[in-house]
Order: sequence, then structure tokens, then C-alpha cells
Amino acid sequence: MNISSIAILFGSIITGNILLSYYLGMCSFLSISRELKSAIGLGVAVTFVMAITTPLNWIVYNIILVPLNITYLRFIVFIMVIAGIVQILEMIIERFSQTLYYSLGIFLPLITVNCAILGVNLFMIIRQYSFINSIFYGIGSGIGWLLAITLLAAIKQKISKNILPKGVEGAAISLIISGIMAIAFMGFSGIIPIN
Amino acid sequence: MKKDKINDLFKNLIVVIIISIILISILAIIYSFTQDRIKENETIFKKKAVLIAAGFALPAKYSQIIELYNSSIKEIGVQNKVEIFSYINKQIDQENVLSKGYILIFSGPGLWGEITMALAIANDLETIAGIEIISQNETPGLGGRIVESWFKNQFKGKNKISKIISEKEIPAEDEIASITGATNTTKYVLNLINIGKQYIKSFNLPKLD
Amino acid sequence: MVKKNNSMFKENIITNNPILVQVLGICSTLAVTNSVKNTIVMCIGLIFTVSLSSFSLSIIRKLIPSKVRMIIEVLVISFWVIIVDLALKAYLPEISKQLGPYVGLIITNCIVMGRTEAFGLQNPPIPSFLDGLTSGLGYSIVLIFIAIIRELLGAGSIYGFKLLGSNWVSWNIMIMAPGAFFLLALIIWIVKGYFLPKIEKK
Repeated sequence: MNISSIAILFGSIITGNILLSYYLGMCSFLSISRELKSAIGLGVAVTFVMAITTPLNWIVYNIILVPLNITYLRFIVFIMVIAGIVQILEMIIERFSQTLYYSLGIFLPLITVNCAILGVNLFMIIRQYSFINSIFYGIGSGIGWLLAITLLAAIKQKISKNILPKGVEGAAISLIISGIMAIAFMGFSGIIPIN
Repeated sequence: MKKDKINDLFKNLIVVIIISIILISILAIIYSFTQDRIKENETIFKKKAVLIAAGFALPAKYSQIIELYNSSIKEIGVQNKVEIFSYINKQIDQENVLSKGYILIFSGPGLWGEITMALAIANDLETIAGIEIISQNETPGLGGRIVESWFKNQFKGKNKISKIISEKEIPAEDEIASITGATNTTKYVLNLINIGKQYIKSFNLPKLD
Repeated sequence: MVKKNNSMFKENIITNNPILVQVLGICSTLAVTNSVKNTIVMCIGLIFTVSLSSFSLSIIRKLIPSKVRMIIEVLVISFWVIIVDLALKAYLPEISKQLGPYVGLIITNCIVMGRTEAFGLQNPPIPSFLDGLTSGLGYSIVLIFIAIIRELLGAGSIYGFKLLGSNWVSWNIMIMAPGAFFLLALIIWIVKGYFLPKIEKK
């Protein structure tokens, strides 16, 4: 692979943001409360899960599934790995920070079915990243998602005092904000040079 | 209390494991029925790509495609992870330099991952007979459009490409039109073609008679 | 029985539309709708998955301990999605390549999880199947509508058939991410702001 790991890291945060360019992870993104703190908390949790599951699933795929010729089972296997990691994360958070545990509430087990996490794992396989690159990709995508969700929560907080036309509040305004952010992030696409 | 908890955990685990085993077994059976067809699709996909790159018009039936492939394409081997083929295209006038040549299948960097291309070079070892994109991970709707016919066809018969112009204009002999909004991916494709040409030079392939 | 089905039909497709009202399944809505052909295949895949997942989970619902409920749901859903994936690879390989990872992402499509959790686990099999089917239909109608607009404006064609002449300057933004966001926002706005209150008034 000629693409350097740093390019992948930056690419997944900015120019190929998992949420703003690839639309993954929208559901929790749209229904997150306007509270900045829970948005950041969720984002950090997602980043952790992505950073751990991506290289882990790389190992599972390349060392177990491929040699046994059962790659068609990758959906089940990946999601089980993700569920396991989320379960472990849940237990760790419950042990070390009760407040965070309660504020994240239902969102924690829902991280398992966050399309962004499974998506990142699947993209990693399709793009045939090396083990090192899969680590950078997992971390980068997590940070990118965290960035997008934090920006959205912050902007929503700012406009929460405004009066919006009927029908726009909730999903529609979040989507419009996301669209504008997506355009803004597209402006970064010139950064990654060609080898 | 603790005994109950462990009992529960055990019960939960057993249910999950049993259901997993049942589901995976059913999937394994289904897979064994479809895997032949899936492998067939992969093979014919590659054969079609090789034929299209070399400029052949493909017949409709699967068996006819295989026949065309077997009579026109010779698999030479693999070197440096590059698959090498030679072709003789009887569908076009044999005086035309594009009627014979080599086809390489190789990969190189794209914007988001590797692009795998089949590059057909005419017998003069300089002119491009055509390209076909075998796999790419570019941005859907933008860079992903490199698979569109108009984009691939514009490389046919071109030798040296020195300029990239916009999609709306008609390119001259030494120019190609890029995809609007996907100039980077277009550059990667051009880059890949140059890599292919260098492989041709380094492999010292003989001219076909 | 007929009355129940009728209102389920109306609810899942209109008043409680998975995308426009419940705001579920957005990821794939935005991702595949730049091509009508891919959208139709995706919709068929989703209807298949959500109705059969709801159906099969409903059959075994009494056997599932509540603590592992989510894991079993995900297992069953993945099972059906793998079948969809294998079917595509075997019979529609080109579309399978174009949909790429988004087929696998049906697993995490909130609609599938949402309906199996909210309905499938509490109701008998046949109604669960119908609930999944109608939700899938509600999803498909919105998706195909968006895809027609995006492909028409963005590429001048529908299902690959060029409808607008070569002089049409395509709205490239419709093919890209922001266009999808804005279009969906617009549709949700219009539906929630004007159509739904009208229906509720009746």
C-alpha cells in the first residue's frame, strides 16, 4: 500500500468523514440531545469501540475467516465482536464512572448497532488495509464521528433559542446543519496529495 | 444470589450459542449451494474485463464469452503481482495497430484505497488499446464514476496524455476529460496507466506477429 | 382483523413512516439514493430482511431470555442479511459490487432493529411479518422518491435511462452528500410541517 497511515488518519477525520461523507452513524447523531456533554461522551465511547474493534476484526478476518474460507460469515462475526467489546466497555464504565454510565443510559448498548462502527469494519476489509492502517482508520473514523457529532450538538444548542418554522425542528434542521457541514468539510479535499 | 447469577449467565450463553450454531449451519448449507455460482461470477467478471479493455465487443451468452476469451486471449503469467495476457482481436482490421497487444491486470493507489485496472496496450507497446476498472473504492457518485463508459473509452488509441481538461469539453489527442468534482481520482487513474506502461517496459515483452 | 391491518398499513407507511416520522434508517437513505437501480435493490433487500427477521424472531420470542435479547436480534438479522448478500453476489453481481458494504449495513439499519424490538418480540408471527413488510414499504416509497429526484437532477437519468438531454447541466451536488442531506431535510420539513398536520386534522 502506498497510502501512508497519516493520510488515512487525516482522511478519515476530514475529507472522508465517516458521517459527513459516508452517511454512517446518522441515527444516534440525529436523536442526540442538545447537550454537548452527552454528545462528547457518546463520541468518545464510539471512538474507543471503533479503535478497538477495527484492528481486532482485522485479525479475526485475516487469521480466522480467510484461511477457513468462511468470509461470508463476516457480518455475524464482526457484529458479535462489536457486541462483546461494547459489553466490556459498558462494564468498565459502570465500574469507574457512575455518572457517565447514567448519562449515556440507553445509548451505550445502542452503540453495538451504530452503523458507523460496523461500516468502518466493513470498509476496512473492502479497502484491504494493512493491520497498522486499520488501527489508524479506526481511530481516525472515531475522531471524525466525534468531531461531527460535537459540532452538531454545539450548533443545535446555539439555535435552540430560535423559533423555527413548523416541521423543521428535530430531524430536518439537523440534516440541514449536517449538509452545510458536509459542504464545509468537502473544502478540505485538496489536502491529501498524490504520491 | 451469586449462584442464581451464574446460572442465569450460563443459560443466556447456552441460548446464544445454540441459536448461533443453528443459524451458521443453515448459512453454510446455503453457501455451499451458491458458492459455485459466485465463483463463476468472479471468473467471468475478470474475463469480461480483460476482453473489454482490449476493445472486444462482448457476445450475449456466457458460453460465447468464454469461447471468445479462450480463442483470443493467452494467459502469459504473473510477475511482480501483475497478471499478463496477450490478445489478438479478430473483430477489427488486422492492419490496425490496436488489433494485437498485451493486457495487464494490476493495482495501484487511488484516493481511498487501491484501484485495480485491466490495461490493454497495443502492439507498438505505446498506444493504449483501452482500460477497464476491475475494482475501486472511490467516492460513490464522484470518483466512482471512473467506471462509466465515456470515461474509459476516451483512453482508446491515445498515446501520450499531457493534459486533463474539464468534463464538458472534448479532449484532443493528448488530453483527457476529468470527472467533474473528481479530479484527484482522475489523476490517480492516469497515474495508474503510467505505472502500467512502466511495467510493460520493464517486462521486455516481445512484439506479437 | 382487516381493520387492524388497514390501520397498520396506514400507520407504517404514512403517519408513522420510518424515515420521515420516526427518523430511522437514515444512513442508507442517503447512501444509496443517488441511483434508482441501486435503491430498488436495497429496498427489496430491506423489506426481505425486516419482514423475515420480525417473523422469525416472533416465532422464538418466548424462548429468548431478556438479557440477551439484543444479541439474538442482531444474530437473526445478520443471518437474513447474509442470505441477501449471498443472493446478490450469486444472481446480481454487478449490483452487489455497486452496493458494496451498504448491504451489510442493513443489519445496523435502525428500522430493522426498531421494528423487531418494538413489534416482533411482542406479537405473533403473521402480524409481525406484516408489520415488517409495511414498514419496509414505507421506507421504500420515500427512498425511491428521493432517488428519482437525485438521479434525475444529478445525472439526468432515471434507472440509467437518460431523460434529460445532453444540454442539461447536472446538479452535481445532488449526487454528493450535501445534496442528499438537504433533499431529505426538505422532504421531512414539508411532510411534517404541512401534510401530517392536515391528516391529523381529519
